[in-house]
Amino acid sequence: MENNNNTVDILLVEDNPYEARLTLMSLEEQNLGKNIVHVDDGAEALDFIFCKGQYADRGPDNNPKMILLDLNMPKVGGLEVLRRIKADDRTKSIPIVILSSSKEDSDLVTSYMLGVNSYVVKPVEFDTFTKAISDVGAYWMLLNESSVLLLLAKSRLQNG
Amino acid sequence: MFKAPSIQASNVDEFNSEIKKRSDRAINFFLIGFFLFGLVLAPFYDTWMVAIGIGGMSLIAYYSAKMLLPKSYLYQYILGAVFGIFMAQYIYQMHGLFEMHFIAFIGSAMLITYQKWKLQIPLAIVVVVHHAAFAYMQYVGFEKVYFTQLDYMSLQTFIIHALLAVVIFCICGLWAYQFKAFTRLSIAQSFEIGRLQEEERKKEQLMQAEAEIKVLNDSLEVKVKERTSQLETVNKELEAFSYSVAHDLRAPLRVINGFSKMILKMEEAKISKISSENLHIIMKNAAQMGQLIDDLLDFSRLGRQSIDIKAVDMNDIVNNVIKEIKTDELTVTPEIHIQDLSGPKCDPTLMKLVWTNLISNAVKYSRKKDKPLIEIGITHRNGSTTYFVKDNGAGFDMQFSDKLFAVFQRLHKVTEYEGTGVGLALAQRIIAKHQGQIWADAKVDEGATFYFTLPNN
Repeated sequence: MENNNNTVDILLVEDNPYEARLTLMSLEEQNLGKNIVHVDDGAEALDFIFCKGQYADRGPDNNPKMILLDLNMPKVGGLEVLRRIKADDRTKSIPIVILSSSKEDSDLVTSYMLGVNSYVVKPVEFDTFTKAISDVGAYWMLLNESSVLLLLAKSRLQNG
Repeated sequence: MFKAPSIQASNVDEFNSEIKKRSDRAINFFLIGFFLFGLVLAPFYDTWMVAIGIGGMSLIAYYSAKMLLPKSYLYQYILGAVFGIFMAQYIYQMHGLFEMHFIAFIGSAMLITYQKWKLQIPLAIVVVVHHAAFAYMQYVGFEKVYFTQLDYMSLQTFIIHALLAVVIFCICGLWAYQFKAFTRLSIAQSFEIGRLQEEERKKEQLMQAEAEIKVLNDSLEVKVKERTSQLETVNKELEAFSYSVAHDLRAPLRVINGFSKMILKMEEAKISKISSENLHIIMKNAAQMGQLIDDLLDFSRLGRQSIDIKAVDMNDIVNNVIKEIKTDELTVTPEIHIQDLSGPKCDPTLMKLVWTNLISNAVKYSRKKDKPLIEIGITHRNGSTTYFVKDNGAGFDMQFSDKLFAVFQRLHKVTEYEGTGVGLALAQRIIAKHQGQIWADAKVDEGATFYFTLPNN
C-alpha cells in the first residue's frame, strides 16, 4: 500500500444519483464509505478501470477491491461493463457485485455466464436494502481473501 | 378379341328400344309397300281378292299383335311369318313367276334390322311349308295352285331350292346375331369412353381444387407468419414493458423509502410525532407499492412460463407451505386439519404458489376469530381431483364472487386485511394452466371455502 492517497476500495457504477447516494450512505453506516469512487455510467466505469480518458493518469496498479455495478444504464449498460472487465486478464480478478432492480431470469443467467461474483436484487424497503449493501460490502471487502494484491505483486514482478 | 367391360342392363335396354323404334318405322313403310305391290299385281291376273284379303289379313295380324301386346316381341315373329306369306301371295298372283321367290329373301334381309337371328325361324318355316305344300299340290294336279312356271319338277330340285333358301335365312340370321354382338360391343365402348371422360373430368376438378387449396394454404401460411411476428413483437414490447416496470418503478420507490428512513434516523430528536408518523406512512406506502409491482411482475411472468407437470407429493408441498407461513404476529395460532392429499400430477413449483396463496389467505382472514380453524382436504370425482381449503374466518358476500379472481380486485379494505389483490388471480392462472378450475363458496363472518380441481392423468 505505497500509494495510499490514490487507493480505491469500491467503484460504484450507478446512473441514478439518488440511488447512488442511498448506497453510499448505507456503506458509510458500515464504515465502508472511505475510498469510494462513484461514476454514473458504464462508459465512465470502463474509462476508470482501463485508465482511459479523464482517468488516463490513474495508474493501473490500484484497481478497486470491489465494483458495485448497476445493470440498466444509458450508453454502456452494466452487462457490457461486466463482460469487458471479465474478458481482460488484468481486471478479471476484481470482484463485481451487480446491484439491480431486475430479477429477470435472463439478466441473472447472463450475469453469471459472464462471471459475476454476486448478484443482488435491490429491495425497495430501506432496512433490507441497507442490510444487503452492507452484507455485500462486508463480505467482499473484509471477509473474502482478495487475489488483487497477489496479482498486483505478480504484475510488478513481470514489469521488472 | 375385345373384352366387353361390364355394362348396365338398363343401358342396353335403352339402346335396344332405340333399335326397335327405328326398325318398326322402316318396317311400316315396307309392309305398306308390300301391300300396295300386291294391289299393283292384282289387275294383271285378276287377283284382287287375294291381294286385299291375304295382304290385309297379314297387316291386321301384324298391327293387332303389336298394339295389343306392346311389351311383347311376338309381333316381330309374326312379321317373319308375314314376309313368308307375302312371298306366297305374290307367287300366286304372278302364277308361279320364279323371281317372286326372292321376295322371301328381301323379307329375310329386312328382318336383320331387329338384330335377332330367331326372327328368321318363322319365315323359314312358312317358306318351307308353303313350298313343300304348294309344290306337292301343283305336282299332283290341283288347279288354281301356282307354285312354279317350270315344266319339270323333281325332289332333287326342290331340296336344292329349299337348302339354298335356308342358307340365305341362316346367313341373315348370322348377320342379325353379329350386329347384335357389335351393338353390345359399341355400347360397352361408348360407356367406357364416357366413363373415362367422366374420370378425366373429375381428375381435372380434383386438380383444380387442389390448386385452390394450395393457394389458400400458402396465403394462410403467410398470414400465420405475419400474425406470429406481430405477436412476437407485441410479446417483446410487453417484456420490455415489464422489465422497465421492474427497474424504473422500483428505483424511485426505493429512493422515497430510503430517504424517509434517513430523515427519521438522522433527525429523530428534532422531528415532531406527527411528522414521524407521516414519514412512516410514506415508507409503508412505498413498500406496499413495491410489493404490488413485484406481484404484478410475478403474475405477468407466469403468463410466459410453461408448466412442468410431474408426479409430486402434495402432502409434502402443503406441509412445507404451512411451515413457511409466518404465524409469529398472530395472537392465536390457527388449528389446521389436513387430510391425505395424494393426488394427480402437477407442476410442484406453481402448485406451491397456489397452496401458499390459499392457505395464507385462510390464516389471514380467520386470525380475528377466537378459535381459527382451517381444514385442507380432497375429494375424487369423475376423472378429476378437487382440493379445498376451508376456514371459519371473515368470509365474503357471494354476490361479489366474480371479482374474487380478478387482478387487483379485493373484497376487503387494506386496513382490515392487507394484500395486493394478485394472489387469487395468480392461483387461478396456475390452475387454468393445469386445465383445472377454481372457485369459492363463502358467507360473511362464517368463513370461506376455496376449491380447485386438477385433472387426473
